[in-house]
Amino acid sequence: MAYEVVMGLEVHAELATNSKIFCACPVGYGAEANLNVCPACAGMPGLLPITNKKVVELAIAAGLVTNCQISSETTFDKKNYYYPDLSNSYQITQLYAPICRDGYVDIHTSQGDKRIGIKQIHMEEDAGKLMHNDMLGISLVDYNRCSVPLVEIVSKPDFRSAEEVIAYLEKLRSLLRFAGVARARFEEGSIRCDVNLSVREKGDPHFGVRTEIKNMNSLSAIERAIAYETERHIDAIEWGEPLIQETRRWDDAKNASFAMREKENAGDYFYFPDADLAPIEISPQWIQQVRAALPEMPDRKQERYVTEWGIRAKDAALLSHSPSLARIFEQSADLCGNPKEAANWLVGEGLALAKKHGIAIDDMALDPEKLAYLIRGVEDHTLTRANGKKLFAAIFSDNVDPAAYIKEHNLDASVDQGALETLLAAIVADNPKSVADYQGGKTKALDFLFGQAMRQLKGAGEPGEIRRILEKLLRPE
Amino acid sequence: MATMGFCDDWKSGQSSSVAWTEKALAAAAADDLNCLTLLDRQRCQAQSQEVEQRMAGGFNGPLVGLPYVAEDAIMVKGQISSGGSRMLANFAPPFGAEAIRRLDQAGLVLIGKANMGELKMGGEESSYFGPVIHPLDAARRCGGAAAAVASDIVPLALAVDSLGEVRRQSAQAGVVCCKPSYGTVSRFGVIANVSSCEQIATIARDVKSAAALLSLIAGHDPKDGTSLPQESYTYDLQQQTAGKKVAVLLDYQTGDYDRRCLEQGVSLLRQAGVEPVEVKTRYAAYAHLALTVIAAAEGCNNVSRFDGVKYGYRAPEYRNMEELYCYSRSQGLGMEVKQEAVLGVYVLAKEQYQAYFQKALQLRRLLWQEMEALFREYPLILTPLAAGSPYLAGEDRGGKLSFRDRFYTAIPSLLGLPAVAFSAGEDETGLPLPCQLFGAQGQDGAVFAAAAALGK
Ligand SMILES: [Zn+2]
Repeated sequence: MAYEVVMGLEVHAELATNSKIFCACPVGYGAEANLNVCPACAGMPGLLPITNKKVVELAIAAGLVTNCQISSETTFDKKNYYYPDLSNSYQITQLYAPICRDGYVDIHTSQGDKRIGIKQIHMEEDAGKLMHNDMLGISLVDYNRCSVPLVEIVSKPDFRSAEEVIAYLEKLRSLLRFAGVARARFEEGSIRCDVNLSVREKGDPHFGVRTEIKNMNSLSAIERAIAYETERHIDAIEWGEPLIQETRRWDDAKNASFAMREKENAGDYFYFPDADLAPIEISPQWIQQVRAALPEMPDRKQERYVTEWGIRAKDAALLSHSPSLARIFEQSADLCGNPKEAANWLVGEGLALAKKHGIAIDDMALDPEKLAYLIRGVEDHTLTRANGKKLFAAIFSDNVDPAAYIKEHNLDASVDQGALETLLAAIVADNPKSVADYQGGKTKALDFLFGQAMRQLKGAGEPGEIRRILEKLLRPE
Repeated sequence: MATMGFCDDWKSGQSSSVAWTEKALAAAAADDLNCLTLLDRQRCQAQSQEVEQRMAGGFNGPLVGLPYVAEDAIMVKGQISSGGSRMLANFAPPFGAEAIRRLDQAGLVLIGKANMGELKMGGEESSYFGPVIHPLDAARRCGGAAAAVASDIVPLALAVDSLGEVRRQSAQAGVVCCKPSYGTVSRFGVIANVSSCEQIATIARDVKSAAALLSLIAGHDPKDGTSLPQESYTYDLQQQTAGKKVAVLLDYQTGDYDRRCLEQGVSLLRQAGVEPVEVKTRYAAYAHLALTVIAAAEGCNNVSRFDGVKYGYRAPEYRNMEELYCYSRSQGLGMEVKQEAVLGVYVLAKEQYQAYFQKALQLRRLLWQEMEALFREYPLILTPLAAGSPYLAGEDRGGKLSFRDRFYTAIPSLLGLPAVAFSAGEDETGLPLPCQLFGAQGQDGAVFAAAAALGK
């Protein structure tokens, strides 16, 4: 039997604001526990939420880069549940009138291009963190993350493979990062993903029983969880076992998903409108302001790299994927005036080194001025390509000053033209047999002489120039 | 001095803040009605001396130097603010209410905190600190803030008018309560119950003093997202009331007591040159039901933060997280709060949301439209405030009577309208017959002026 997996995604992204969504507390990753906390986000009575305007603007931007309709009026609702990391025992979110609706994101996979629908985007506050200390038998709460602003981006059930899911998540991350909406880093939890998954026989118009795998924070975990859960559904269908609509937790260490406790599956959150927050009116002018402030998005960049700079499509896709890489690329291309070379160095050397050192592309910190210096050096033959690679690696890992590094390591390939010609003439004079061979038609003899020259020059001199002089010397008078 | 003409009877000839404060402190110490949950001698003595110094330096303004009490739901920095609940009996917030800050600045002296129904969700019998004895009849009950003014401990009080109980209690204690339009006074630092309805109201012997106190705490506060933009408010009590049309709602004539209240109110209006017109409405008689549903939902949500985890009461013994929640809340909260919370969960549950909460919001809109239309013809509306005399000791246990009387107080709460509550006369035992006047949103001055024109 042929099966089809159907998935929808709920992506939570922490918004890149300086302060929390409903109070003035700073937002910071990795701060000491309960440092970024005030009476409001600690859940004391008597405090009233005041909406951070920046949050609304970033949510509008998230909607614009995912082609959504922006609501002209949006409201907040309260979602009620008890958990110690939720200081107010309710979360302020949006149920009845979310800020964005009906958008899409275009993705590319091995199967071609596909459009993934966005059902809605809403704003909400995050909860804190609960830490259990089994040794002491106690639990501790850190409210730093309480009231940190999030957007939840809810897709339509348009995914049919893990590859599509990964492509969408990469694309979404890239859009959010370029728009300055979110840091969107899985490893720090600033982007998290819930997958709703069901399996049906291919061609069946009805959806199968849906389970939700919550809170995954790495692409590889998501991939494994989808594979596991799909298998689990197919097994159940084939063995005629009932599947239950439920929320499941992915355990990456055990490589398996587990049903969450019954209480967490109860499902009634007693939503109702938040009376402390007046509706937010969003005028077309405001939307236009946010739109005008958006930087160039990755799709447009990719297109421009190819059409204006003649970069290979595959390289253009890689370079336009990350805001920091795109910035390094564009600046060094401008500085050296040779975008193709800048692309070659960044894709060929940069990405390989990043991979080798286990550095995320987003964390690559190459000084564009230094890269441009390197490219110019290779261009005017003061630096051989081989030595260029050495210099690139040194800039990459130690941010060395290129001029000083070249001097210190004797990488300067510029050789006095007269001296070069004298040296080559001596080599020709010392090897009459090769000269005769060459003149007798064995052009390979030139390679031998060239090799001799390279050995004596120890990397200095431009190879093309050396060949050109040798050929001139070997030409019969 | 500017304080002249305000609360003159209470001052009884004394003219310094220190003397007034000592008088209030002495009266508070002798209080046998259980009006106050906290008396802060040091804070108020220091405050009165400071005010004297400021006055010596030329500082002045209405009500300067006068003592007042604030209901325990209005938080004071570093001072126990319990809201009448065991849950918060040890809770001293690290910040205070905006209204208290404004009165500190205006040079008034906070004597202490007034007793109240638990977290504003419970009725007259529900305070963790015991009920308040009625100042006019020891067999009956009252609210702490109204009783403190009625028994002359202080000339002025702040109380949170949540469902209208503060208006009812004030009028039945023979004092005046001014409740402003929603959004006039900051709710910052107020232990919330019905967020979409409640406002801090002021209590005094007369409208003039209550309105003056209100103007000191009113005005935009950026810390409250529902605060109206207007920066400050003054209430012109001299404006013409005679000749205005007043509607008397027939919906509130259900028995002897409310009829007598209305008769008294109507005769006061006639004396002031106003001819009341009897009007029957379509939705007024349902207002309290909508309010009850909304109040339960919002109240239930507002008390859910009291979980024993962060502050306030925590059960001494528990074996796991569920027990920590359950025991802390079942021991820390009283029966009437639990009743409200259960009702709140019921009306918000998926299965009932449409039938209750949604309906209540719909009713609120319909009532708003009906009242808007009514106000175009009648700028003022007169209603009684209770179905019977103040509750006898124990009579309101479980909150049944306070629920009954919500029938009369609901509209100004539900729609956020300005209202003034007063005694329109006395019954044969000398107890006040409570009435209120209310008007359209923003017409606070006209409403208070009308009550002033009735000699209140
Ligand atoms: Zn905070």
